[in-house]
Amino acid sequence: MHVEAVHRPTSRIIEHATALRVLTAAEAFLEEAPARGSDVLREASVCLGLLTQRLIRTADPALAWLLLTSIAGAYPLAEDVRALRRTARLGSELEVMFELLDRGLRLAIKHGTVDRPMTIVSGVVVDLDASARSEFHNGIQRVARETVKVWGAQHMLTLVAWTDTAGITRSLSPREEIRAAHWGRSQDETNPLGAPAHQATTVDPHVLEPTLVVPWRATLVLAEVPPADRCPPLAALAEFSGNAVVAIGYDAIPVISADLRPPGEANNFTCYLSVVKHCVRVAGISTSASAEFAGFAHALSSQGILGPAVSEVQLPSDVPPPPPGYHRVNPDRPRVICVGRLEPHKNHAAVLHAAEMLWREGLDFDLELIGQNGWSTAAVDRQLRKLEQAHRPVRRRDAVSDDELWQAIREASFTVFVSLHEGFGLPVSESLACGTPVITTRYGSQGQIAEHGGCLTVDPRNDDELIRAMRTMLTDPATELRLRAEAAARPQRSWLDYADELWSILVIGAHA
Amino acid sequence: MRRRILTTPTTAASALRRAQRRTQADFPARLALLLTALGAPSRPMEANVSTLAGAVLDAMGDAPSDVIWLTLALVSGSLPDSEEVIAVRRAVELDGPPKALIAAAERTTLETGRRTVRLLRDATLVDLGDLVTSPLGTDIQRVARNVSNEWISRHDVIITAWTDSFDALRVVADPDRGAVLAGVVREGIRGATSADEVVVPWSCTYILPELAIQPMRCAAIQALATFSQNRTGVIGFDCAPITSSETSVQGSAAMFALNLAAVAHFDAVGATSRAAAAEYEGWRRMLAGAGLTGPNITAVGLPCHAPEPGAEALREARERFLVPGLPLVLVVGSHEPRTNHLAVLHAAEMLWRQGQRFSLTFVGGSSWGSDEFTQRLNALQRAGRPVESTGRLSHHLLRAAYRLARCTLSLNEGSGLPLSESLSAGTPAITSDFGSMREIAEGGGALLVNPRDDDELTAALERMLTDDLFVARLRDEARARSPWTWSDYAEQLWELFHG
Repeated sequence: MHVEAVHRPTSRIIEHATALRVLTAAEAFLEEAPARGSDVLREASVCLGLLTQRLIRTADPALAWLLLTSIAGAYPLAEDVRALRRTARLGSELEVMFELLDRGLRLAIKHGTVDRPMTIVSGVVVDLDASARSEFHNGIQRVARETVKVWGAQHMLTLVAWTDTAGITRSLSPREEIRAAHWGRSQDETNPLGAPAHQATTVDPHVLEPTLVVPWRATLVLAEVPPADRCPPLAALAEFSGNAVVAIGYDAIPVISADLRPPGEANNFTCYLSVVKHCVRVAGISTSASAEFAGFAHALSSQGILGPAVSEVQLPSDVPPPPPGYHRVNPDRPRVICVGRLEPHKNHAAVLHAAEMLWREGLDFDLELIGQNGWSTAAVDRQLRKLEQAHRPVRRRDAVSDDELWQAIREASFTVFVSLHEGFGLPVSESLACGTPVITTRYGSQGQIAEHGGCLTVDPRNDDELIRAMRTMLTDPATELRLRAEAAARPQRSWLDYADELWSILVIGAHA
Repeated sequence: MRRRILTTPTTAASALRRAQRRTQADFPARLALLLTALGAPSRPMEANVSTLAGAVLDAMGDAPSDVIWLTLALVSGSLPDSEEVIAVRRAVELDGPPKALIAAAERTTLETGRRTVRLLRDATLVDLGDLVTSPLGTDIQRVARNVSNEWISRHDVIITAWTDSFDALRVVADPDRGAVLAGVVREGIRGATSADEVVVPWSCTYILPELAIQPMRCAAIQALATFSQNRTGVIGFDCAPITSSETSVQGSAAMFALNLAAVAHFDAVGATSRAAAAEYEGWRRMLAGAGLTGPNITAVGLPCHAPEPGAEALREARERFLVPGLPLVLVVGSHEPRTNHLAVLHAAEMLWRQGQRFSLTFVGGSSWGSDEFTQRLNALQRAGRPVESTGRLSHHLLRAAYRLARCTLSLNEGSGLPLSESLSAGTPAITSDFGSMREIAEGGGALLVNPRDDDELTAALERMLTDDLFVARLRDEARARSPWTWSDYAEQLWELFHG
């Protein structure tokens, strides 16, 4: 078969596909959609006329949004919807049609999906773009994938990703569906769905020719934090389409702790906030994450906007069980580990300083930092070099497997995680789930996790407190034992608990 | 066993001497200032670096963070950022207070070494960095300029700006100060005034009445607010770059977030309206996750006061703006998505098509994202509609224009200054039923609408054009408003910032 690098649909194909999309929109919108016959083009043009007349009568923003979407095969922006409504108020049927085609065509040219078929779905639609498209499995994607794994077994869901130019949501290919919704499951479990997730990736033909999936009178769940280019069409969808958009709220670190983050990060994040502004509900992953989104919603009053209702659904702490027959042996000398990417807000500089103070006091312990380079590591690198030159027992590992990580945490005397700002503080809950005590930050999400025991808490900006806590752990075996017992007695919370609660609070809108 | 390897005073003195050779910095003078600031007895003039360093180390005690900030700032001639203060604090804890002097010596550069450093104590500094170097005529800068003028007329204040590299404060003196405060744009102000003299405030009140967004400046202000013994206050205009990124200039969010990172450590924010205070309060609540409490936030509403225009200005404005026989609808503000001028054009066209007769004038520069506005305006002009858009106007002409208009339209989320000016001039206004605009409207003379509802806006404009009794009533209400002057505003802020 001959495969062309650029596939260029003929105008006949585009005409036909557009007609079918208009018919799909008409079926969704009109109480009595005309029955489909054989002359698709003629029927579509009748329907387009009916929908346009309706728009002129009502200036319904959802209809304006749907019309633009079906003509363009891509989502409109807020300004498109506003302009079409204004023309509907001012103009003749012909003028409205011209405005619709003019704006639709511009979107169609930009996104190149005007030859694609479109389905309209109601119910619950989950945007799993990054989880479907990439193999990355960071904090956010882990939450999204584990949640959908649970939901998929219990509820009817439609999973969507975005087209390459961020024009519109689309169906997932079988391979993407495995990545997004069956992460970590064996091939047997997912067999009917197709090839295994980790197979060498070639160009996925489905992704080149996707079916466009448009939520209508649906609930769209933003399980990830969409990148900036998805945000303008998403904001318009949330504001005008009549769909209820809901989101998991991870944190607002880019705008609140911008001094500790890479330059420019707040620009992308505020694009996301322009979507959150029009969301119906947000479920924060911790009390402090919820407070951040509630604070944002409070700030919206100056614009006469209510903002989302914010609830809290706390993340679980889920670690795999130790290997069969595992029995922890105390290390020869105390072993302290610090898990997390090397970046300023994780506060490694304070930990290295405290360790040096204690080594100078004559305490004997190993310190290991486990985590990849984030950004702006120069200062910490300098500190590490100095310590190594002084022959301090400090070690740095940047890439470890999951198994190595769990083993290191299980064997440690205690872990230190004193971040200045976290949405959740996964390393704290993971260490505790492994039974290992933690020195962590007293406030925010880390303090919240610490409330159930197993931790010493400190003000991460106060070096003296950190030094005192580490000294206590290193010199007082009774404290370590007490905290180990507390860690073992902590209430368990699984992904199943999380996903169930999230469904009822975020998707259904039940009160917490 | 506690084993501390302390750096000795001698090491500090030799580091200073090395830096002196490298940079020609007058360290004896700077160390003498530091001694004064730390409250140590004054030294004989001829004291050398070694004796002075020794005396400073005696006076430093354990060298807490505020003393480290002061030492770095005074000795090196430039303000440190927070990361530096913390790193030096740790070095001091490990190796003793001489580390603070060594760090200060090492961060001195050729540029900062040749500066004359002055210590300011118990003074009030007003930072007009942008107004001095890049006057843009924005509402924010107008507020900064007017409020500074009021303060200067009543209190002892020192106007400051920044060095070109935004690493130190410098005093702006006359004649430049006079020119800046008179709103005169003078060539060559930038860098021409005492660029070689920088000031370090200590036990002062530092006031920021404008929007600082330069990253270096924000970092220096953040450390000043966090570590130094200075009281800090800022005018909070709004948080739009965070709360409305869709209508903000691209890239402004990141700069504004750095400003907020500094303001998080301030003592007081004087928000320009209750709505602006609500935005800052929402942000303040978000700080909990970062373990910060944030500043005290108080709403101090902007002035609402319009002086009477002269007869000449009225005559000029009449010729310039009035179309004989047509009532004038005036819209003041730059054309950008936030000001919602597309909705105004739409409402006007709806009414023109219905046969209403009126002229529509927009006053304000074109900003970003105004292409669609310009296109629509041109189309309406081609269709013969009496609509025009002028650039910025002189203040006296604008004041006169307000008085000639039948009504004004003000639908933006900004400072609300145009709305205040219209109402103070006795001219009714259509404005939004939320935020700062609603607050200003409470004083009377305005008709509130939901600006996102085109039909409601159209109906409001129609009523303003057709219901003479209603307009007369609003006019009376507007004239009866009690004035809130720049002097009232400045005094209330002064009290807030001096706590």
